[in-house]
Amino acid sequence: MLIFGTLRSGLYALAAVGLALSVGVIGIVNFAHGEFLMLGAYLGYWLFASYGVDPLAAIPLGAAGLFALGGALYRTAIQRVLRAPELNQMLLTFGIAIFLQNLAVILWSGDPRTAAIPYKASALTLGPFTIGLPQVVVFALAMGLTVALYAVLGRTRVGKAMRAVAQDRVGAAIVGVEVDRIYLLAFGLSVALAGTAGLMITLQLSASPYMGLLYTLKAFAIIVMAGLGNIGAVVYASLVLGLAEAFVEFYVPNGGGWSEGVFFLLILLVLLVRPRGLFQ
Amino acid sequence: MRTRRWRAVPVVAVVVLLTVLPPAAAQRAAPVRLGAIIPLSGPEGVSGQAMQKGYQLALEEVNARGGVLGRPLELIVEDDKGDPPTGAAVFQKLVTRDRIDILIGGLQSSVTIAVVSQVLRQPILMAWTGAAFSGIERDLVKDADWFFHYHPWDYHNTDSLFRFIQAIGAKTVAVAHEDGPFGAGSIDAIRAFARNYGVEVTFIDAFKSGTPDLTPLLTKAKAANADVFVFISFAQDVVPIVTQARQVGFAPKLMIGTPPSWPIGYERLAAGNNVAGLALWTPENRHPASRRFVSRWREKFREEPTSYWGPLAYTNVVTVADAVNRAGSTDRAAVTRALAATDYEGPIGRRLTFKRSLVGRYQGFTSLIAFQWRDGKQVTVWPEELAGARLQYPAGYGR
Repeated sequence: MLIFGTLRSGLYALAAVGLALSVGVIGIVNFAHGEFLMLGAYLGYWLFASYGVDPLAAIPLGAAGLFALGGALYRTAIQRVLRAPELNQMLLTFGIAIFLQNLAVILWSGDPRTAAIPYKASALTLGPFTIGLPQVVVFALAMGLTVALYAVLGRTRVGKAMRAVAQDRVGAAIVGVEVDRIYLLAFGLSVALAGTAGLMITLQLSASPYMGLLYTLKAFAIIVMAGLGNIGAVVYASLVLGLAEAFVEFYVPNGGGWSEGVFFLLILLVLLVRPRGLFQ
Repeated sequence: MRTRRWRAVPVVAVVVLLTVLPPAAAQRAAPVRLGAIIPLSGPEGVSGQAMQKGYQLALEEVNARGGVLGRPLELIVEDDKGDPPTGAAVFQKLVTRDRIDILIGGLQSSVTIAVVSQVLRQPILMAWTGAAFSGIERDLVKDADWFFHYHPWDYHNTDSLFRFIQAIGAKTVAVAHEDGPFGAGSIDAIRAFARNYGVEVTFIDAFKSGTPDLTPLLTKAKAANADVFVFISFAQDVVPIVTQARQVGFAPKLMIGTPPSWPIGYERLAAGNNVAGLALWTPENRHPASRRFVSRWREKFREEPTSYWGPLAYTNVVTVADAVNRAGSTDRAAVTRALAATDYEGPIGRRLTFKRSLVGRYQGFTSLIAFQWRDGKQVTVWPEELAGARLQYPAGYGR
């Protein structure tokens, strides 16, 4: 269960790291995050079904496409509510989520679609253990992307500007940081990361218009545990969630039915005991 | 005077014609109206769209043969969106504004509950294709003489499952089910039917539909070492179940899935080969009426029929039209008697008659067929008289 829990945390981390970026830098609670992931999953499906493009090879194209979509959405909608009350921001992103979900139903129907990737059911044998190959790939990718993002934030000028904006928007503007462009970049990057997570879902599962909410909820649980905006801790928080779910599902009779309860319980506990996050 | 009287004859004749003929002509021309409530959008939109195509084929056939009672057959289709309040609202529209003669259609149990609740207040003959949840029969339409149910109830489905399991000689079964009403609702029936058919249930466990990782559940199921693994899931759970089962080395002699529909693209998934399923009908059905139906469907829509909802909807319209013809009017009591006497063998490939079910008065189909995925096709493997190939058992899974 340790291995299964660890591996599933890879997908969770990938889904959550983009949300951590948008919450941490822009301060916007994006309820449509899971729907961007859903769009990534459909993109992966279509690229594979139409052109035989492996979802892993589709990451650069998919991430660029979703980045452009995120940027356009920022300019047309998100930017307008940044100074509005938080309730307006939530309603807007919630509306975007509903819109994208229904758009997917209209365009692609409600039936899940699966890409028949040849190694979808492949496994690696490590001594007495067998583990899914796609899950290992996704875990490695999630770790790599999180470390890369952390490095960008810590070591590059853009990253430092993002951190400065996250800490104090006015102060950053005074010292010459173009806050609006940083927001645009952060939101685009957040959507691109969600799209990448979606492509990785194509690698393992099916794409469906209704899949987004589950990942939005899990991503929220993770960023609350990590501490809002604490990108480095997303990996640890994902591990906590992945392991907690795997142990409950395995050791509790009918534990699979409790998997949603696990992350709500974790959110509740963290908010009660350490509201700033477990790893803050 | 005499001439005057004779002159009046044509005038009287015209008056008589004007008073008698126009209503009769209008009646001949006025269509017999059926109203259908189906989900054309929402999660079950694809099944609803298949139903609409089935209606289209049936309507064309019926009207090409002169309609019903010498009048055209008209069908007004309303989209319930898979949403019960919408189902209730469109029912009101169909009976008050469109003044339909008979209500047909239906897919989801939840919408059926909403529609039946309305019909209880505004009676109309219901020739209903939807709903498997037997609570509807027990609590809402028990002994109702206005409710004809085409689709098997959930206990019929479970009965078919265990007759199939018994037929293949399996002794033990492990069951994984999604934890909502769809999956959990049939668990008591599974235990009861397993006992009746002498099959031991060695494992039952629940999972949350949509969970991306089912390896803990599958690892537990593997430890139960049953002959057959049954998963009661939605379409989105099928791929993680069959792929992750292989990843954890779970290789029962047969996997049987009972999703309402299979994911698009499943047919190309190598890991999905040899998995069995249960359905009312598959496109590979060898019955001549089924083959004719599939060929007409291909010709008309330039695609393959993928679910049983198309032929079921076709059957629905054809049998209702036939009943109205035999009744000689749209009078509810007369059509009820005629529909009750239905004996029809159409694209579903089995005889449709309406008999008493557990507590319902008019139940149509009561069993499912079993198929096995073979190189992307659903090949019928049970019952023997309809089988297109022998079941591969043990199915030969593994990594």
